[in-house]
Amino acid sequence: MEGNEILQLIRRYLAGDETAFAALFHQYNNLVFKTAYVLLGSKDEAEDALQEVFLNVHRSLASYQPTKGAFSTWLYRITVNHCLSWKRKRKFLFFSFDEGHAQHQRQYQRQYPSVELSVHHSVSHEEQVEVADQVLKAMSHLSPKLRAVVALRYYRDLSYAEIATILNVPIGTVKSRLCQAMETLRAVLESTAAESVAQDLLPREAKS
Amino acid sequence: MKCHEARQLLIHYSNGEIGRSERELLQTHLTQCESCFRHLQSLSNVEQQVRTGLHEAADLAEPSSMAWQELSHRLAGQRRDRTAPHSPLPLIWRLMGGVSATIALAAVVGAVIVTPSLRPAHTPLDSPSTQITTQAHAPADDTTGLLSAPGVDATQMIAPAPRKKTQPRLQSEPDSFLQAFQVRIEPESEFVSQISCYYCLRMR
Repeated sequence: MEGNEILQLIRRYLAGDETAFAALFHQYNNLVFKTAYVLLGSKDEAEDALQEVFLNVHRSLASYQPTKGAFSTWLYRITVNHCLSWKRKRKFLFFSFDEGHAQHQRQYQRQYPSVELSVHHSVSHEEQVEVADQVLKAMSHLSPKLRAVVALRYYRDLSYAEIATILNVPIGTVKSRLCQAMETLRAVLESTAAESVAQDLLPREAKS
Repeated sequence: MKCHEARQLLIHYSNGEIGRSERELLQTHLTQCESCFRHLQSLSNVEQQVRTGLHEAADLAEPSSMAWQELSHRLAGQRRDRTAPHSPLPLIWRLMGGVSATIALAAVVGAVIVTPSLRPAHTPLDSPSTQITTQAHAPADDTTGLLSAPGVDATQMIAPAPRKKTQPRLQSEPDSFLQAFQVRIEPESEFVSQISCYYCLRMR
């Protein structure tokens, strides 16, 4: 739902219809929550972000100008800004990654990241958790600004121009941040893969 | 094109976000440089892994089913705050009330501290707060153990006992302001302080 339907909901809300705001929330809460989760790495913090972002939207919806961009772009900007400012507030607690749900699944075979593993590829739940954990951990090595670019590009599949609009930076900045971020991620993920391969090559007695 | 220039463009080439002239230059370089070509393959693998990992992570996380209830509760609270009636007194009067209450508190406390004669002649020594106050400030140089000896009530020695000429004074007049302050804090002044603080809070 984008375009006219959203604009109608916004108009209804601005005319005093609170049910229109509820409809907006139910339409976009997943987008906000999951983007915040990818950026913050913690479900609890993503829940808080969801609340704060929609409180902000409720306050400032009148300032949204449809001529300047899609509603989702405006919402991404609020979400990313909230997550970046949240990171600044607690700069010593960067990326409190939830890793509890993966701890019990370490016995599954670690495999070298391969191109065959894609979004549409059928993977087991354990593999899904493993891949998600590896990537979220690798993301924790990035600064919030670099992480925002990576999340918007590879999770939301936005173009460089859209990312630049959301982050309010030139396209050149998006390019340099993405290049830096991907080089870091490459180094981290490849060293992780090399470690897991080495671990698998160890004799069983040595592992235990 | 040099290798270090090519490395800056590889990720954008892989994303399809590169201009035509740069793309042609890069493609020419890649046909001649195996190292950069391997780097491109490696970056493509990482891109794929990151894309997959972020989608998988997001798929595993769902917002709470109570999120809307919580939000609507908070929005209702904000609405109540906006529509709540304001205090009938203007801000300046409320501030002046607070300031005058503070001055009154300072005057009462100052009078009680500085003027020993204002203290009541008889202090109920069986009040628990009095005992705590005075026991806490027993002289530190009680090397004789007299004041802390069992069976000896220190409060009776420090607190002002009814003045009888026949009774020897166990505590001389306070020789320092600090000591005087410690001994002179009595339940009456604490009560006045509490009333003043309560008044300040109500006025705000």
